[in-house]
Amino acid sequence: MKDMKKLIITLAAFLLIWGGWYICFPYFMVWMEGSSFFTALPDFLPVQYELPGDLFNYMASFLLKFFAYPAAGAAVQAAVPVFVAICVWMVVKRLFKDSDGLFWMSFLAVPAVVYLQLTDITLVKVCVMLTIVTAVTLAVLVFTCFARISVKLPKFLKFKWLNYAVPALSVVLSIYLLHAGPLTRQHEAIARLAYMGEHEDWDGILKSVSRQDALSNGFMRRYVLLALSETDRLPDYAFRYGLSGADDFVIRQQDGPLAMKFNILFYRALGLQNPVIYYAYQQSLQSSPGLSFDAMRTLADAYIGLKDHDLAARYVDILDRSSFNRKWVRDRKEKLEAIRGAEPEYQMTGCRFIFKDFYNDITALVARYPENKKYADYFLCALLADKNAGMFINVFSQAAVRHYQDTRTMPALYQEAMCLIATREPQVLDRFPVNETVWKRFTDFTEMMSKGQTGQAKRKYADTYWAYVY
Amino acid sequence: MKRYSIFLIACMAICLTACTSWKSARSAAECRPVIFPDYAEVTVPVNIAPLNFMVEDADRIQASFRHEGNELLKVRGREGVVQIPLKKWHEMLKQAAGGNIDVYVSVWSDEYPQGMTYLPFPIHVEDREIDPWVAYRLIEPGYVSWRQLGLYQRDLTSFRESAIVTNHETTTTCLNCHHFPSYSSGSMMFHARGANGGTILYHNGRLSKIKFNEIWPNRNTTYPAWHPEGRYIAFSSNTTHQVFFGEGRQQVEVFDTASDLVVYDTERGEVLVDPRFFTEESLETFPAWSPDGKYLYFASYTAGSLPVEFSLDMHYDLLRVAFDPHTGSFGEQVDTLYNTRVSGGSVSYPRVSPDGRYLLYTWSDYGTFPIWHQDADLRMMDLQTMEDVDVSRLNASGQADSYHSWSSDGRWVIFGSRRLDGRYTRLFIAYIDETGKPDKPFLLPQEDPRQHAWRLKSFNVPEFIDGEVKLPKEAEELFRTEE
Repeated sequence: MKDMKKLIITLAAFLLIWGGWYICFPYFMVWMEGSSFFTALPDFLPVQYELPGDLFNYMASFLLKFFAYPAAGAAVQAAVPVFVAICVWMVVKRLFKDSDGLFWMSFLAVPAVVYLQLTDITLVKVCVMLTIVTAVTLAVLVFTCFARISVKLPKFLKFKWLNYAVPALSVVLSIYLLHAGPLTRQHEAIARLAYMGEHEDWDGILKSVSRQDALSNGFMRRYVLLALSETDRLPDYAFRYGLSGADDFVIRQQDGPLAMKFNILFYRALGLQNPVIYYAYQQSLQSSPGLSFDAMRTLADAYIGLKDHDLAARYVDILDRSSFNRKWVRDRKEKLEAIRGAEPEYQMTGCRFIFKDFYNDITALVARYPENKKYADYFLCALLADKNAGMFINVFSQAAVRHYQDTRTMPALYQEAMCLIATREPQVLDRFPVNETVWKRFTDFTEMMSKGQTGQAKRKYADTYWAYVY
Repeated sequence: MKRYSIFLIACMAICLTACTSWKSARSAAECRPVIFPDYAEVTVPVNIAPLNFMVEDADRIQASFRHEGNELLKVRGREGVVQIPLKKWHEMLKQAAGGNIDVYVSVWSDEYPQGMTYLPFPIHVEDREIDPWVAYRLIEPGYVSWRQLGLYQRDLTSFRESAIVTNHETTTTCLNCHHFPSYSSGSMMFHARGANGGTILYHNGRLSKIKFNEIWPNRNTTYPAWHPEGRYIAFSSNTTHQVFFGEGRQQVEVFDTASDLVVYDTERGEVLVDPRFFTEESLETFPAWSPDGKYLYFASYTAGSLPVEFSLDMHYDLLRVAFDPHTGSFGEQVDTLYNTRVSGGSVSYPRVSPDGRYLLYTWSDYGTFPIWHQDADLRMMDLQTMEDVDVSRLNASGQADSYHSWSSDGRWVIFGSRRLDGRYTRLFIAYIDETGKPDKPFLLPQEDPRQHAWRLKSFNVPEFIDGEVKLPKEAEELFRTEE
């Protein structure tokens, strides 16, 4: 087999695997970059890592910085199995007689390498593997310089078609693994939601998450609820997407970087920088070097928002010295200039409130910022989810004055809640009358329920508060 | 061909000379340069590492160091950074000991393409050495969790920094409260918190792990104070909590719901308890011995009932009790040196100067964890007159100035301060004269001054030591966990 053909097959394999990564995991690769950190600054290596033990972590951090661009990340990912194939080919060439017919052997490891990549989002194991492969290859090359080895293999192993079939099968299997392997499409979907959240593409989130996805996946549910809130539709559709309690708004029980990322976006949307900073530090500590690009960008933005020039400048300066943050840094430097010399503006209304759980936070926020409709809606929806009618009426009474003076046009869920409450306290409708259509629908719902058509009623009024309560 | 080569070499030589030659600035400013760190008018020990500095937005920079009119050293730099050669710096300090070095700075920048020269600023070189090493912890100021943290040491005469012990193998282990007896680098203790944790003691060449929760009275220990004679270590035993604030500049508060004092006898392996300092009614913390070992100083908050949550009403007094090292027992009388009911605020980290004359402590509005308090300042008390000594020069307004240590000769203090950016604690050193008057503090010099911004760790608990700690490698084995 001529060298040109081998080169073409190898290049084709690279391009196909590159395409596989690029198509399957564009957002996840960006997320991988955000969860890593690399800099050539003098403090990074001696403090964050201990050599030689951390050599592979250091290599992995270096490679991950390319993932800032999906095309570059995919190129790194595709280069790994191709590099292994080239190493195997060099070894095969040195060890076996008439090795031309054994070119196919170099592709045998490709799917295994891709599988390893899919299970190793930190790239540390990949770097270990690459080092071993390189060392073995070099050892064989050096050894065969001194001792000529020429192992003869049976002829059937040198069938010409094997040189085409095995690479093709390996690549197909690799792409299949990319499609259906351990790194699932769900990871990609959540990374995409995080990306859209970061860029405030709330409509995009609402379009890309189905009701079914939201019901079955806690991350997706939270992203949808956040997007609903940001588009002022939370009190209309919260229960359609499976709101079942205050814990559905923010992630308390998990401390993975995806959870931290969501919480950062959530509290940023609430306009609370302290929790954003808190979660950014936690997110940072979850990365292998104990620092992460994403957390650093978050911190810089949070401190710019607080007009804390000195702290923001620290992060911007460090990011300025990494290869793939130039545009981001350029934008921030302008903002930094604008706040140079300004007095930091750490928001503070009333006495301090301890940030500990969503109920505590939102209660404090509604008390401090009664004019903030977003806070009020979160609180009201949380109370509805907890079926706390008494508290709902109390809070709503105050919120209505500012936000829902004509209760007949207020969001659907609040009207539906009023209907339900009115079954026990009819006078509530005198204070907060509901739209006639809503009342008719409620009457229909209760009739169906009283006739025992529970399933039918809940299907017909699937998105309503009534369906949630019953 | 040969002619071309000579021409090329000549051109390169000219270029190199042009790039590196000493230049004269065309303009002169009637002010001093704004340098970082601010080393103007500081007093430094004769053995300190080079005070490298920078001028922001400058490209080329030149610094000329003169003593009594004689130029002792010239340094050129790029990106506005002056990095002084170590050997020449030390030679210069020796020559200038007891006097001043005047630093003349010229910069070339976009603003001053033809150069600007500034009025000189003086650095006073005190003819005294500082303890050669300082030990500290490096940790992210990152709240709940941590990843890489460790106890490090820095040679103050150079830029050499090395790890004493880190949690590299077990990132879930927290290392804290390192302490040395009488500045000795030959003995050390620290706590390793975590599944296989304990108090690691390196003393008299022996390495051991003490599990205080398994020795009567079964209480974990926190802040240590090693008795000057080496046998005893006083500890506070704190039940510590932290809360996070949703708004405001202060984002974290750390507080205790219980704390008592115990004394560990390293010879007998026993914990000594005085019931007066082991009660639920009062919270004792931050023990510190007098240099002669005859008194124990500590902070104490007397609570009506145990605090269950953070409170602004927690004010810690400063107390003192006599100690008999022969019997390991405390005296009857407990003196209140600072009464918060009278004077307000709260006292943390009392530290007595080696001559026993002064007591330096951290004062804050309330509470027991001043590093998160913007109001935290260093204060000093004259133990002979019991009067305050003005050390306000050490403090930065509106930024936390906290943990501090005396040098072994009592002429220098090192302390942590968040004055650079409000978040990352950096170490400052200041000269204190015989009357207790401090000079302007200076930032611990780094090889590249930008490192102060690039290092995303806080310096924690600085302690002067007489040499480099060489902890046996087995120390990390003592708290290693299978993860």
